[in-house]
Amino acid sequence: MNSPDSAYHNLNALLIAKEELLSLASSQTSLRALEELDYDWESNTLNPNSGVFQILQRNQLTAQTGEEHGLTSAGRLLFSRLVVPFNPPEVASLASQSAYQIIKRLGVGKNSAIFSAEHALLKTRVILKLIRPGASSDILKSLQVLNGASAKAHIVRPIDFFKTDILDAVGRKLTVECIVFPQIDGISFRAFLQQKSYHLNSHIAISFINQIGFSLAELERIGAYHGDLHDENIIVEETDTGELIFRLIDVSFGATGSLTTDECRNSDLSNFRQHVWRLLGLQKSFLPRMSLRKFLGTRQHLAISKILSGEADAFREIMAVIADPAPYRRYVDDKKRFLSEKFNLPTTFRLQRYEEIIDPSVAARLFVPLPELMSKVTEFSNVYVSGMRGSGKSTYLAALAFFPHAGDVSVDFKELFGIYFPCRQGEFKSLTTVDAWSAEELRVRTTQVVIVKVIRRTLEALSGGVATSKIAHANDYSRLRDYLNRFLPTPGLVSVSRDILSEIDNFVSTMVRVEMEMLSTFRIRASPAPFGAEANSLIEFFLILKDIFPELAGTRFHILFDDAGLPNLPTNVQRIINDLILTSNPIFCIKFSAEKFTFSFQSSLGKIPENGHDYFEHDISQMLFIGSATARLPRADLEKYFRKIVEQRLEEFRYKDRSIVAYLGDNPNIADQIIGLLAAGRKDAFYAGWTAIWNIADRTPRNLLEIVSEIFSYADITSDSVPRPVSLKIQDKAIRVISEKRLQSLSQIAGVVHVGQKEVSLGRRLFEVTACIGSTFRVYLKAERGKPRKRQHLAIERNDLDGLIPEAEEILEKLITFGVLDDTKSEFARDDEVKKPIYVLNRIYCPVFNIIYRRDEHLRLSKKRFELLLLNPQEFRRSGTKRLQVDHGADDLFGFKIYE
Amino acid sequence: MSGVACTIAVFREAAPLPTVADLLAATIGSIKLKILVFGPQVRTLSSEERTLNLQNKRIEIRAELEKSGHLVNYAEDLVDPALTGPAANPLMQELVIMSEYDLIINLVGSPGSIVEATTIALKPRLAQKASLYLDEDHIDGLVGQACANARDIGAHFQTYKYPMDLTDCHLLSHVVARVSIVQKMKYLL
Repeated sequence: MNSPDSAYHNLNALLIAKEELLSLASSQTSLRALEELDYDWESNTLNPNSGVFQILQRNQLTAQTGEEHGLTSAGRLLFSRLVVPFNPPEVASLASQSAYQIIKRLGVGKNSAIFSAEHALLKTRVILKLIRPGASSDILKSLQVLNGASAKAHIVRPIDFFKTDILDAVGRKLTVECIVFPQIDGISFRAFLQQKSYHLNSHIAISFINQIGFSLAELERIGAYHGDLHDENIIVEETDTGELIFRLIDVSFGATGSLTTDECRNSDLSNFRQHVWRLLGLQKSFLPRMSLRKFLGTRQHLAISKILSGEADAFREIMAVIADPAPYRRYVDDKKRFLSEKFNLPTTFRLQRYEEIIDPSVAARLFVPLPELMSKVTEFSNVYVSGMRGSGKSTYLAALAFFPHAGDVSVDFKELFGIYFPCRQGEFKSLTTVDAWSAEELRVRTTQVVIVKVIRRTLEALSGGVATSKIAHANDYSRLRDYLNRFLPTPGLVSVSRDILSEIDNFVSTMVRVEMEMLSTFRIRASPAPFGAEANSLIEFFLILKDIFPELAGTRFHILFDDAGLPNLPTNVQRIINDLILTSNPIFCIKFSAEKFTFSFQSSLGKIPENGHDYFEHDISQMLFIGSATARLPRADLEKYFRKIVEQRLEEFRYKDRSIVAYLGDNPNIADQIIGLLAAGRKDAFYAGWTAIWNIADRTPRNLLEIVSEIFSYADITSDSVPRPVSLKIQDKAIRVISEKRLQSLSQIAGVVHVGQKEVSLGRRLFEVTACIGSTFRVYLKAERGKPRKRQHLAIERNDLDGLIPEAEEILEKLITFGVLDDTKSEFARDDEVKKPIYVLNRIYCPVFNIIYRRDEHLRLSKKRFELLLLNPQEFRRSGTKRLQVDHGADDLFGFKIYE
Repeated sequence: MSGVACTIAVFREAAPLPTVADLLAATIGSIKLKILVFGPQVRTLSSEERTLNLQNKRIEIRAELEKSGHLVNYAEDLVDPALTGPAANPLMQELVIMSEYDLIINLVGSPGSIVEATTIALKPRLAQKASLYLDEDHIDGLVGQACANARDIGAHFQTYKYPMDLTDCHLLSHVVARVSIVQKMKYLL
């Protein structure tokens, strides 16, 4: 079905004007009436007294030579359309007049009829095209012109030509010209479009344009055209390697009746655009949520948009559009300019999240791993990296990932091939539970999506590796192709020319679309795809990669899910990660990071993976916990580690001095000096100097970098600045700003918690509890005023072993999840000598509460008091501090001895 | 007797002389058209009898034409609500859609179909391939005038008698005949 033909733009007027002619084809017209015309095809003579003659004459379809009346060329064509239906009995004599035997009639058109036939002796299959009288003025000449087209053009050319006699419907003999074409393998473009799987390769449209557009441009160059470019006249063949070949058949140049060359060319252009559009439209319909630009890629989208817009009004111009790199270059330049204007490369300390750094090489250079942790994370085993917000969990995982374009990397992909998913970016969020599904259906569907994502991401990395020559092309992709085919409906993967898309890139683009299709139907109640991928099918995939890519022969695959907690990974996806963890095998392992209490350790079958057996948890904050015990990090080592983090950036961004102390100064005794000032409520208690800063950062590199960055910003220190210590006042101001910002940001946290029968804003509640804890610690510090050795409360300790009620427990967990309290250590309680968890306030909040970062004392709370703090912080604060204020000098607050 | 003449004899003896329409039925039938059918929306059937009859007729027309192999669509199914900017306007989208079809059939009567008929009355290129069908009782009204305007710039405009032409399928026959004549024209000319 073609686009509306321009020849019929005045359809209704034409129907009126040609009513009489059209009546010849009506059920009222007997064939006898046409017989009466007594038309002799050979001599072009007729009976001028017949009624039909009058009609033809009134429509300027007759001609007169002397006394004889005949038909014009257009008249012969129209008359043949009426009385030459090319029925098999009427063309039966063809066999005796040529070397071919008709097998069956394939179609009858306005200008010709097509037959399948075979050579009588050779038995080769051919296509015969019998031209209607009047459809061509000099078909032989036209065929000779076609020979001028390049051999590269995908045009099926005639192999023979002859004339043969046939009969019309009233039994008169006529001689028609017959063109013989070879019969080629393949299916029609129409049938091709009806095959569902072909939508999965977006490059098919480009391949189609390259092959068919070029062929039509060749016809154009030699002065020809196709003339009948409908979807049955394009044959699609799939080669053994899955490559698609498009070929033009049934070129009608010189046999299009009364249509002019321009009309034929315009028709070709219009049909060609429509075929491209139908191809895209069909492909797009399977991925309704994906923009066409994303589907095609910007380079192709720019070209195809221009082609479809109609700007190019010749095939030569269409091919020039495809070949012209300028628009894409302009786009790339504009994009670069935009990015450089809006997103400067990191030149300050401002970028603290791994994901914010565009270039993985820069991220790798800025990464300062803690050697003890790095060696544990690198080991081949399932690992859970935990730690407070900003402690660098992402960076440890990202350091294992294979980034093809990254220069400086800390791991060798030939030994450890990391497949990285920054889950924070939301690619798993849409996989939420659908209520109508059974648990098994949800498991199967989620597993399929996760498996396909891993495969797609791995292939993307490999493709990048091949593009950057880190990995050589595999000699034979057939095993990988066979494996991937199980994810696609019949006939599976299709390819386009290698110059358009390499095999590995084709795998990537296909799997991207498989994934997109899965995602688009994830929430629809429909049968899952039939391939039934389970977790262990990944082993087979990775084994194939190890076999076909020599560089990967000795590697082991680490699947890295960064920030895999809620809400980034819905619970059903977390279950599948657990399934993968439990698929213990020597080929791949799972590593993931998550904030505390956001990841559920439970497989789809309800099994709970055990820490130390199925996986190993490595808590960054715990490893950085300083203290004298052998298990803890020496204070000097932590200071050295933090110093290296900052100084690596000073070096990377070419500051004049790479020593941070040169900019901040240092006072190792700052805590002792300002605790008295803070207790006295003095305004000249300045938080400043390197020691204060790295302590307040509280084992969190992101805090550290943000504070330093803020100080540099306040003091206007750039890489060109002469190194000199920033004034204490400015440092103090910057530190307090960050501390205040951290506290205020708590109230922005989304969600609700249940207190009593009410829903309470989670962020607001976290803010209130934190403010209450900090303020209480401040009150305690102020109570130290006048004492020779002042002691700072910074932790909460339980003075009993009773469990909290669920509502309070939920809030406590959230305080830990969001890094307000740190529960990584348990200690022997000071009253009953029972080992209990302690909850240490994040030191980043010390400045905002005017307290010092030392943990001299713990606030001991009973179950009841702790619950009061969590569930009703205002009441806790009121009752607690009131007693302290009224009974100043008393020996107890909530049972804790204030004065020893 | 030559082989050709023999075949003629066999052919003549085997069957009586057919009409031209019989002879060309298969060939003309292979010419498929892209047709838009406007009329009352059909997602929710109306409880009001007249609207319901028109809705059913619209459904019947589509089904009948599809049975003959034509590509038949309702414009409302083709309008993309996800588009943004000026292209988000459904009427603008319908204009583009209409230009891509061979034939536009409009059962004028519902609010949407009246807008579409009025639009067609302003666009000669659309009018030339449009067939408008209106209840003869409405011929003197504003809608009848809009249809007449469309006819003046090239549309095919025909009235029907409600409810007889609907219930007796005369309207369906008119539409099928119209499509058939367009097929013939595309084959012969």
